[in-house]
Amino acid sequence: MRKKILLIDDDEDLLRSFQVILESSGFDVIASNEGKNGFIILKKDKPDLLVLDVMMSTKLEGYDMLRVIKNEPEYKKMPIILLTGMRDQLEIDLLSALEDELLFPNVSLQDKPIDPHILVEMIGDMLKGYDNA
Amino acid sequence: MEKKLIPAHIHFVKWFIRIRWFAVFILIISNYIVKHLFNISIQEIPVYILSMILFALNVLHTIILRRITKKESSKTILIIKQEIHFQILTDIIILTLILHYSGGIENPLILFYFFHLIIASSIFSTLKSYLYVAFTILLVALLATFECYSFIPHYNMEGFVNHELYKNTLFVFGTGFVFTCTSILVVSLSHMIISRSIKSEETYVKSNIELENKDKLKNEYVLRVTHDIKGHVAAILSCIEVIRSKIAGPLNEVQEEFANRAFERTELLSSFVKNLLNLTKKRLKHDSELEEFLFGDLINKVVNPIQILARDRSIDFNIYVDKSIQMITGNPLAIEELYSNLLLNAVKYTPPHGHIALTVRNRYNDIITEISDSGIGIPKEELPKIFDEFYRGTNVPKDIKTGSGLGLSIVKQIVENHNGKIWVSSELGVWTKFTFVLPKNPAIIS
Repeated sequence: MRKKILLIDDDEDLLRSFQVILESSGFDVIASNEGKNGFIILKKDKPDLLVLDVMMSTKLEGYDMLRVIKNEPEYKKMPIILLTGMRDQLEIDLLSALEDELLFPNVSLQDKPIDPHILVEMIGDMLKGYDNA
Repeated sequence: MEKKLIPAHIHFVKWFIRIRWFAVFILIISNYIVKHLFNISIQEIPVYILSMILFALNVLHTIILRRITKKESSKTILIIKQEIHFQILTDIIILTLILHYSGGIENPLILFYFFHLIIASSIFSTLKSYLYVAFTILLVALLATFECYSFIPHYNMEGFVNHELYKNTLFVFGTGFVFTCTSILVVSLSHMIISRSIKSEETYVKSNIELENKDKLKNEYVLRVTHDIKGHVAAILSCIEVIRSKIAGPLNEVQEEFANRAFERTELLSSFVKNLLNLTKKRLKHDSELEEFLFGDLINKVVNPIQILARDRSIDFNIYVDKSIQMITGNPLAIEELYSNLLLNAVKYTPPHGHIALTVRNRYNDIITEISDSGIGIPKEELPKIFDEFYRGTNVPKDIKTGSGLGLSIVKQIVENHNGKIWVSSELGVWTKFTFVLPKNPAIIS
């Protein structure tokens, strides 16, 4: 069965190109350029993995969304790739919280810009790990 | 602003104290010589006692200064000025007492007041300087008139001054008048000269601070702009990638060629933007967190990929790292970047079958690194410019792809952020050598 990926990023060009590349790599991709819809899509389409841009229109939109998702038992273990352009400007406690496996299991932090092929590889690895678990 | 002026004040007080040690020494020696070699009748014992008091006071001044320097605050300059008041006042009083025991107004030592008046006028406001003049004149007048009218004893300097000048009212008032005029003249002159130089120093410090602030603003601006550009470039890159990787369908030869050209240029732009962002962040010290780490581990990590690269190009890579270097403090990511930037450059600009060498030595609190290569070298007239932003060597062959021109600026910024120093020397077409010193703990030195 094809794996379903939810892509959330406010840069439409990036979103669209990632969508095409991921689709060509054999994933089903749902793309959204708004965090708000993300949650609805999550409930409706039940993706296997989420790629989330943390710096969306408001500064903490991405994090807030991550927090809400990870608080739901249903999504606790869902693999999430966080794309961030300003890793070194994050507050230290936020960064260490993100890297904490217990608080946020199966979250991987990735600096932007990311090479699409590396993203494909990462998604593959994370899904493999998730399936094995 | 105030803070930047503290070191100058402390330096001044130190100098003042040092001069006083010297004065105490000269006082004791000359007291002995005058009394025993020239047989001039001065009150030897009181002068020795006064020298000792001056000595004790100077010890006190030293202790006070040490206290002041230990805890700097916004009031430091004020406290230092009070301490200088204390020093000048006690000096003037002791000088008056010494004069009293060694001939009073007849003693040429009376000229020594002028030193203190000059010092006071160089530090304090016009009003305070003239108050010092008034105080000094008062002391001298009291000393001279009291001795003249025998309210206090006069100690003759027999063998030096043979007339009883101190009783001659004309001499006393004449000397007093000249002394007064000279005091006022000295203070007004030195005050004018010194306040000018202080003003220019203050302007200098002020404009320096302004420049620093402006530079910071500029860097913050560059950071914001580059950040935006980075986002756009990333989007362009991944859009071109869709075409280039033929996901959307086959391309003919020319289409593919141009997609590749566009992709490569955008990739160059992307790495340039990344470097500029990196440099600007370092300038703004956004990533200056220090930690302790094992130096040897870091070097191994850096050197391994370079060794492979050098072997591929048949370049001989010689490594010597002093084993006694253990833990050092710094930003490990930045230091890694520093070594790998310089080593990658060395490999890049060295033709096949050349040599590159990395030498790291341990010296007290520093580590000294030399990275040399037998590469294309740097033209002599370009050596001072190589750490400048966007510098690219004019002698780089066409087939070597130059980078963003920011690599060495980043290198220099990393060394400076760690309170280190870097030099370069080179012979065109023969060799290049980078030498840098890093303190093992940058925090201690600053």
